Amino acid sequence: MVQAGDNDILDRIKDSKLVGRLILGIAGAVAFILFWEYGMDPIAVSISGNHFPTFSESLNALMQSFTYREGWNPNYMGEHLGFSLVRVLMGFGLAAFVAIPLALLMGWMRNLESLLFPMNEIARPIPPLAWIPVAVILLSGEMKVVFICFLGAYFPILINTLQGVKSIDPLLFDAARTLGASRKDIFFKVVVPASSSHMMTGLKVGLGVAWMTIVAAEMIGATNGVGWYIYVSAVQLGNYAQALGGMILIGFVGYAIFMLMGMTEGRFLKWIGMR
Amino acid sequence: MDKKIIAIVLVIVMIGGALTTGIVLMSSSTPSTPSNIRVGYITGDIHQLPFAIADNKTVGGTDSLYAKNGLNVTGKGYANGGVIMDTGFAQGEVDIAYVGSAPAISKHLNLGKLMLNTSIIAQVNEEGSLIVADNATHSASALVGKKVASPAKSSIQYLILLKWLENNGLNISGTLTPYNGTAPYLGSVNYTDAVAGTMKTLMTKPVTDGDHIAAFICWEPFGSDVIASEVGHLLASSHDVWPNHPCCVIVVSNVFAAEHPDVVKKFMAAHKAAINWTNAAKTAATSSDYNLLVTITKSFTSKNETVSKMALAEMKYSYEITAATKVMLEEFTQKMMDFNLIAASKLTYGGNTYASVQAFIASYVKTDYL
Repeated sequence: MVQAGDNDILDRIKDSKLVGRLILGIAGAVAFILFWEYGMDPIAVSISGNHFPTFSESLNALMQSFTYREGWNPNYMGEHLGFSLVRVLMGFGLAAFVAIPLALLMGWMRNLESLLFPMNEIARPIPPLAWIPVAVILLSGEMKVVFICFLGAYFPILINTLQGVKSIDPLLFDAARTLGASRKDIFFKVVVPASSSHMMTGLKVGLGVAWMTIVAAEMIGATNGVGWYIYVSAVQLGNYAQALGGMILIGFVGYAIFMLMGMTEGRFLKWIGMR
Repeated sequence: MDKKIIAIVLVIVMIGGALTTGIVLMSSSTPSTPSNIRVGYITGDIHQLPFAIADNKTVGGTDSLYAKNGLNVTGKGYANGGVIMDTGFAQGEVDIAYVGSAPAISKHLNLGKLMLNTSIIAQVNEEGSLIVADNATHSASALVGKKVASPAKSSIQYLILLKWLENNGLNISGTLTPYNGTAPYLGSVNYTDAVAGTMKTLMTKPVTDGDHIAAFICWEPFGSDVIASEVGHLLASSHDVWPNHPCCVIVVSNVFAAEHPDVVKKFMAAHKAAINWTNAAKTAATSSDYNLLVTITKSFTSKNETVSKMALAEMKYSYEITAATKVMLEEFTQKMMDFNLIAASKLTYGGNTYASVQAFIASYVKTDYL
């Protein structure tokens, strides 16, 4: 039985669990960094004879890249990051613009789903990078890279949003019809809000995949960006510390994107009335 | 709730409109206006050092040699010359580029003039590639059954490798071309493409590792880097295979040259000045110009001072196209046909109308801008 003061105790228990998880998270990160700093190089030398840059070397190379650039490098790291982020936003935005309405309509209209779903399912397992020849033939310049990013984001958004529509409780439709709602009302006042949670999940996953894909796409189709920098550093020039520094940046930015989407998801669902 | 839905739809429409505008703007290739020129080069390749020299403000005194000649240059780095031709020129990303003579020839012929309408208008350097072997391999014959690498099958380095192997009684395993060398046949080697920056890593791997390469040919400074770090040693230089061979050349888009001949002339003026400065600096090893040259080389290639100096010593920069240069380019073209890198039928493919290899070189190599 809940008694006065129980809420305080529960809050304190909750806080201490959060603190505990935070401490565990930090401990995990520190353990990984220590392993990288002291353990990776001896392992690499014993396996392949090649040195593996330490964490501090890689981090140092990353920090330097923001204020110093070599003759082969046309931009500072901040600029490279900007180029990559713009490409992500363009590909992701385009994917959301196409996939969300399409998924809502496919979920709402069975015939449209029957028409489009099989082709989407056939295309879905094809990795975005496998579409590079298509991009090279049909597109040019920046659009090659943005197209690959678009493909990375499109399928998670489409599938999750579609799943959201299909998982709506049929009773909601019956209730809406009973209250005299038209098809248009049911679509905008039942289908869209009720599928928004799945939609947000799709957007979150899609943005993450778009970030992963854009970096790899830049290795092939760009002349700037974080992915291009990593590829040139590691593969064309053999500067592995710089490449690993770029990877550290990708990891942190990817995490920041994930956190941002999480915050946006909560606010959006509250605003649309689904939380 | 209605207003919220309308708001969402409006946001989606606005984002869509912005995206469409962005896509239209980004997908249209930037037109080259007079004095603006987009220059392609191979990243980290010391053969392309004249680009970095011409782009350097200290070399020019107050401004870069490009700027002093009234040029606004946008440089674009690529992995190798084949990519510059396929992506840079064919997709309209560059107007002019520093490219190996082999891809400049083979890509134009193989893709056809309709897709790749380019010309060679100057040299950049002669020789400057090294064949480097691991410390367990001390002769060409010891490479039988082992793995060798070059940056790409379209590269001039690959062509030099094939010629060197042939000179030493070897060929690439699995090749369809029968062995045609004058030396007694010894056997075949296994071949792999390897991006320049990975060659030292692959050679360092244990011999028992499937990725280990016993030898490679690459443009400088990657050979000197391996030698300086004692991972491998020099087996032969490109001079041993083809003395004074043209290596990198300046390739221009014919459409760009027709529309902006004055810009091409300005570029050539800067190119000549860069090569003259480089050659003068190289001969004065204790001068401030030489120190500046080493500094630029280190920055451009991302190698240390020792490697940069070793690589510079291997380089012969020259912009001239002489009769001897053209004869060698004809020889390269014929050799690429002999090795099945170019089919003879490509002389009349895709807009090409060349009666022979000689006619092709006579048409493809232009000295008007020198």
